[in-house]
Amino acid sequence: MSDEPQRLPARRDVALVEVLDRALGAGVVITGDVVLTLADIDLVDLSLRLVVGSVPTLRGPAAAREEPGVAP
Amino acid sequence: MIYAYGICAAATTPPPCRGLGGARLGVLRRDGLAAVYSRHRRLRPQPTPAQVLAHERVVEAIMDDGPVLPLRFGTQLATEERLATVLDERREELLRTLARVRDRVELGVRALPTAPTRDRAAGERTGRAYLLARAAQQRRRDRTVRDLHEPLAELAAATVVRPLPAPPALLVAAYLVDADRVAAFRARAAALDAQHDELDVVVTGPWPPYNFATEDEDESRRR
Repeated sequence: MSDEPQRLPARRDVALVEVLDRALGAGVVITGDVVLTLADIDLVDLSLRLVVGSVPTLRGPAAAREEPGVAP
Repeated sequence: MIYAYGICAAATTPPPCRGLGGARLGVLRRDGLAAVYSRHRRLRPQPTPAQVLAHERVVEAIMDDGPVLPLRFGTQLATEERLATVLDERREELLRTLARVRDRVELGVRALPTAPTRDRAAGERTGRAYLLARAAQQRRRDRTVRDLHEPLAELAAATVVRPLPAPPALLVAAYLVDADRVAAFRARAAALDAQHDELDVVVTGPWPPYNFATEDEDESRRR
């Protein structure tokens, strides 16, 4: 692991992490019908963990959605 | 193809928002249960921020109207009939779980060390030093569960603690909390944060009860 301090991501990225963590890692699974591949999830999960590990501050999902550029 | 967002009580009204790709939302009602979905000619759900937030927005809109069991992102079924079959087949379990989350919300808690830490174990050169560093990390996590999680769990109807949070996080947990105890939960978390100079305690939410949407997730399991 590098000794360089990790750049802090924008706070909205961290709020997003909380959403991704739940929507991709929890919730009711309807067996056999989930189309998302395991590989997709693993990649996201990995990047999530890196971000979450580095930043202590979080905002709620509603605040994140108000940021320009995040909403679809 | 249909894409499904969440399962709710049959009385739920259609959420006043749009689904993935701006699609119109439908409500499929089935004998006391309902599911919110959208129809798509072609949809390839990808875990991008825009798509996951669109999913989340629908689930939160359902939650504004009543209890919801969020479906995992990416849930697609061939037809409405197939969705109806799922509601029929899992009816008892879904009704019980819906009753459990009614008038409750999920709160997330993360605790991180105040001082920046490196993953010491990853830097150790000998096996013995590595194992000692790993053991120290585990003791620190156990202490955090005792000092933070246990007092917070007293205010929750159910909890899920992630067994191995990615370092440097010392606690990553979800709490199912009565709507009228959310303020008390936040106050206790703030008090614990103040008591522990060495920890940053962050509460997030209220969230839809993703971590309490199935029966086997109590006090558990997840990662």
